Amino acid sequence: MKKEITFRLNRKDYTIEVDPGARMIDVLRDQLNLRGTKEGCGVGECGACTVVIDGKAVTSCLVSAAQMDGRDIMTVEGLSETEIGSILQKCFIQYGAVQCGYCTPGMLMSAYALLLHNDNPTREEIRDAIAGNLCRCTGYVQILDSIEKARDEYLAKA
Amino acid sequence: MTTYTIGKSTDRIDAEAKVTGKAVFGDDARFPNMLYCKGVYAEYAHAKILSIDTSEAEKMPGVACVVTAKDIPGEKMFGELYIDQYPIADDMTRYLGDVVAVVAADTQAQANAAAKRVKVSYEPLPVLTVPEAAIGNEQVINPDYPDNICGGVHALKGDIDKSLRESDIIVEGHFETQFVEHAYIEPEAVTVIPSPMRPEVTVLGTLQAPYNARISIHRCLNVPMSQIIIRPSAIGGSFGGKIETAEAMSVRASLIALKTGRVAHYKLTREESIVESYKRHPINFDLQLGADKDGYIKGLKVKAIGDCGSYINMSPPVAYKVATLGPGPYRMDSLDYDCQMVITNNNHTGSMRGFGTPQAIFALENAMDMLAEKVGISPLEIRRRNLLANGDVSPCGHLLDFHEVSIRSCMEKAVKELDYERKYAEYKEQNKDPKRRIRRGVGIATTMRGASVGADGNGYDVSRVLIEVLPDGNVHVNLGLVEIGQGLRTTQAMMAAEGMGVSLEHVTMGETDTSRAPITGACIASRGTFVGGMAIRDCCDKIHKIMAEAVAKVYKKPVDDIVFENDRVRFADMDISFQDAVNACYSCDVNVTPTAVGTYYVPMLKWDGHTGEPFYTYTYSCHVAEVEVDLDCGTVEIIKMVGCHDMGRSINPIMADGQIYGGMAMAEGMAIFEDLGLDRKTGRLKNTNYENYIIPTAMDVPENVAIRNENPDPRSAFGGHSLGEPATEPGVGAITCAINMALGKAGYIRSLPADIDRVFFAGQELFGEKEA
Repeated sequence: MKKEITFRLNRKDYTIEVDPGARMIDVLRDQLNLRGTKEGCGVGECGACTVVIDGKAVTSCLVSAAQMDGRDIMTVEGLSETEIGSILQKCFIQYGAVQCGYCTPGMLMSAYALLLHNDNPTREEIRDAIAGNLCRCTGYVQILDSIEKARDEYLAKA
Repeated sequence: MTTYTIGKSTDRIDAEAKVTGKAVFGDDARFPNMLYCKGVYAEYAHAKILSIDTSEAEKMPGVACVVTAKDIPGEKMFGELYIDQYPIADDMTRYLGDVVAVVAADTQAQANAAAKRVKVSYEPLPVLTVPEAAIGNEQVINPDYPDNICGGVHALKGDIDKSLRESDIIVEGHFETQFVEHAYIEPEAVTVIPSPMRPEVTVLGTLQAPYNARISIHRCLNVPMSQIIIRPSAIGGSFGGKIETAEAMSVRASLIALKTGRVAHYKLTREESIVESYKRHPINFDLQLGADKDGYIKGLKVKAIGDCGSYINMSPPVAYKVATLGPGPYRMDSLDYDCQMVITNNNHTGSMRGFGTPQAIFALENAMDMLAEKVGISPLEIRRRNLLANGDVSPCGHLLDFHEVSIRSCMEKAVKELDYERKYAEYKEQNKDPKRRIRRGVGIATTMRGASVGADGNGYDVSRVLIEVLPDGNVHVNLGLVEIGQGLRTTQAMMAAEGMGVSLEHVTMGETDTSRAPITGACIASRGTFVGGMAIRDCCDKIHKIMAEAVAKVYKKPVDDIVFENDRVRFADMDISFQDAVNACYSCDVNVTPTAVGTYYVPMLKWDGHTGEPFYTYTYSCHVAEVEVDLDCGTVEIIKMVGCHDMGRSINPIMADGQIYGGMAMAEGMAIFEDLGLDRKTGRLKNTNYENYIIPTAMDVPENVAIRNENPDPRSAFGGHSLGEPATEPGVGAITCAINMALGKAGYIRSLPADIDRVFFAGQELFGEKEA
């Protein structure tokens, strides 16, 4: 049975009909055609499908469509429109955080959620924030560097 | 050599698409009226297939078709070197990742539901999962190999018996390594688009070796090669892993697309990916290392047995690298390195970053530490005494007189960065206290990596590139060596800019497309930058000749001394822009085409098992690791790793560093975490997703350090040779040597992974339980 849900996604309002038991990642990818959010494991372990819901980084493979109702959601497609997001994207490119790029959207969303609440995180806090995002290419060092650079740049602007 | 583009860190050309979510990966393709596929997996690792009943599945809602091996019109098998893999199992299952039928339906949910209704009856056969037991077993898995041994390599130099007889010290050990998953974060996915006009398919997806995929589809489905168009998507990590499995999927999905006339989309779940995909070879080593009383190596004798699993895949060439590179970068009088590969009913094993050597180096480097312990010198000193230098002969008989043999400087730079000598002395002293429960250790491992394929691939080590210079001065490169995350597209663009003498903004890179880029050897064996660069250089030289001819006609000047550099073209007393030279080509009275195909093949290498050239050139590498071991918990914390590599020349330094950091993290996973949980009774893997198959997270990987020790290689067009595999190669050895130092006994843990159980029990055995 379909259910109507209303939510804010990437700063736009949506009202759509969903199968309430569907996974959020499938709603994003197949119903809304936002395929920047990636699936890596389907069990909430790899973090590739991380999105930000009401300011918190969440793995969208473990969220049901019904749980999207009334929420404020941000995905990688909306990041460029935000100040923190666009700085993160620039620094990810510049400081070598991107290799294959498959973990990148989720990694960016975790970093975005961190900087939303803490504009001056330590390297250890950054490490903690991306602990749920697996990356097999980079060995994480340049990802941590990039988020630190983004933090510094965001702080300098603020 | 002055360079304008290479050697400078440049943003990746694909990074913007990847940070905005726009990059299209394997599972991202969507088309109207698309079918979704689902494979039905074998229920037994080894069984005769008696019958397959698809009738019930075919009646399920939304189902367009169900295909089995009977539907394959051409050959039933494919393979890269050995044609023995079944895209759909025919009369037998040989491992639990065999697919016996594929269902295609309007939605994924419908396909999944219908796949459960395919009924297969089997006659189970004995399951062989232990290589040593499979050798000569009456149960034969592949009748072409009646002893279940599919191949091997025996490297022999000197008189090993004499060397061991004359040795003052011989260390011996049995070492074992595990299956390792590539663990690319993106599972395999392909999408096949059939042409309405002719028997033609366009295959999108996670294909590391597109020209090999083309051959496989051609072989199995009888479609002309020109009408199989492979266009790899953005690939979410591969590490050697998205070759055969993705090809088998391409054959299945192409079969469905041709049969139905509809687009077929086929992705694996993580569990399916782990169940079906090939792994890193588990290899068991029985090793004897002989040296004089001062620790100078006299000879190395190794008997290595690798588990090649159900299909041969890359096992013989893996054996080649084990036997030729497993002896490390050390001087020795004699060598007897025998590596055999055994067919079992486990997952087949194939290309994975390092290709056999991380395993071999793990065994060798722990034996080196055992030797140092017996001589009474440090692990650093034993290596200083034995490492190769310029003009030395490698363990396999290669006279190293053609480039800088930089292994010593790699090691010295790495140990200096870690402050190894001070830490070694300090921890050695601390570890003398048997009551100490938290113990530290440091470890070193060194390697020499043969660039590209080697003498066992003589004649096949080819690369080709098509470059067109268009009327607007745009240098357009079509190269089939695939971007798999390592940054190869960007590197290729930089080399093309350098080679053509233009700035990077004038270079564009075509997406890999087998109908556009000429056939080339695959992006494997850390050969992409090396042989790709050589083909680019050849191509640029050819185009320069064409352009020189044009400017000579237009400007009526001699062009013998023509130079293309930094967007300028200079000849005689002229200094014109590159665009002017392009205009000359396309001018009405000249009309030549500044387009060419560049080709490079590695010279034929002569290696007879003991002398000659097993490889064309080498990358030298050293990893050092510092660890902390908690005897009461069994945990190992990696405090820091340093990777120092001589990649010849780094084309893009920040990306080269990225390879090194990533390689070290991959080695960490193999050394201390990763275990697929193989059930030897059934051949079933227990750890088929990331909740159980543990790869390093940001919390596990420390502040590692990457060092580039660049010595441009005269055997490479742009000075660069391999880095991708070397970046992982020594790490497992360095980490395990450090763990064993912390345990106070060189070579104590000899089985991988050195995980919480092994380390805990090692602590109990060596030091007993904690005193109350």
